[in-house]
Amino acid sequence: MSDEKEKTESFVLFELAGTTYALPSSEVRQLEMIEHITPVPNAASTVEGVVYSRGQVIPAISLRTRFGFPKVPYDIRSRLIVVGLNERVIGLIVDSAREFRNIPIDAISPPPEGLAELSGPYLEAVANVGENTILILDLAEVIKADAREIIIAEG
Amino acid sequence: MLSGELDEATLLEVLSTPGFSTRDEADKASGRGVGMDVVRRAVDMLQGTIRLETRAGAGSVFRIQLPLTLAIADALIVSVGGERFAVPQAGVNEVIEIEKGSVRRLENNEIVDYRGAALPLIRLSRLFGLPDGHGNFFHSFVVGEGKQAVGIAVDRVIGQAEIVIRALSDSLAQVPGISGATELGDGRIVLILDVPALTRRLRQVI
Repeated sequence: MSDEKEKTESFVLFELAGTTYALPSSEVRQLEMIEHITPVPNAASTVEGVVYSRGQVIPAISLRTRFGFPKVPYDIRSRLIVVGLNERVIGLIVDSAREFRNIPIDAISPPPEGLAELSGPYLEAVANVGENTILILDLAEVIKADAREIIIAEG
Repeated sequence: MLSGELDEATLLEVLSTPGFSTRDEADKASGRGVGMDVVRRAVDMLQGTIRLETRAGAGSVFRIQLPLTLAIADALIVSVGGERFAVPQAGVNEVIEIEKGSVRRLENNEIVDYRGAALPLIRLSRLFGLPDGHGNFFHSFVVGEGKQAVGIAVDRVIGQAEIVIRALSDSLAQVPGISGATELGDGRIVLILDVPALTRRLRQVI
């Protein structure tokens, strides 16, 4: 029983439009400063472009656009979170990312239904850590190609 | 009989020997002992591997493995609306300079005179939603032969480079008209134009 209580999971925390989000550390390869992003013509609106990361050309997605927040210019706190899932490697552009944190499994619960706006479809769970509420993302949903946008891009 | 005596790697060597054929007589398509030799050399050139699995009476499997980074190519580096692109030189016949005033409009097409014939232009800036250049002259590279020739208009051809072709492996980065990407040594990615796809697009429009 006491073992159960101490169980934690490791997450990378990041901020977007004043809200704290988290991704499981196991899905995060590295954090990078945002340097040059090469725009890809006619790509989906969430795709800011491609970047060169450790010998690979990977797409960089704006999570602000993905979640429907207004775009802001990059600054020194902006980060590219390079994630890997089932052979795919993708960069997520966020306002800032500085922290790894172990969150007790007890503190993690399914997202309340009232949070169904904006990032709603991409939420996996919610964690309450002290005063803060952290939104844990479902990476597979976040990087899923938006079928509607692809059709527009090809049209 | 033979497969009982030779292992598969040796068998593959024999099959890939120039002039080796299992046929007694050549017909229009096969029998000259050329095919497997060519396949083998093409795979070698791309630094891939080829393997043979065979069972007498059951059939044979040839497995070809090619590296993702397929090739180094000579490319033109062009600029359009402030962005750079690489154009594999293999398909480019010529680079020409065009004066803005010499472009004629025919319905939705733009045409220039080129070697005594009309050359349709594809403006990359419009296909890619980039701003048009401001100068009185712009560059265009000519692809395709004879009546198939089209000019792909850019702002400027900046130079030439030997590029390593890298795949855009994720579907989020794959768009029509772009075949891959390369890195020009400054850490920045430059997209490689898919010239055949771009010219197909023009023909569909016409």
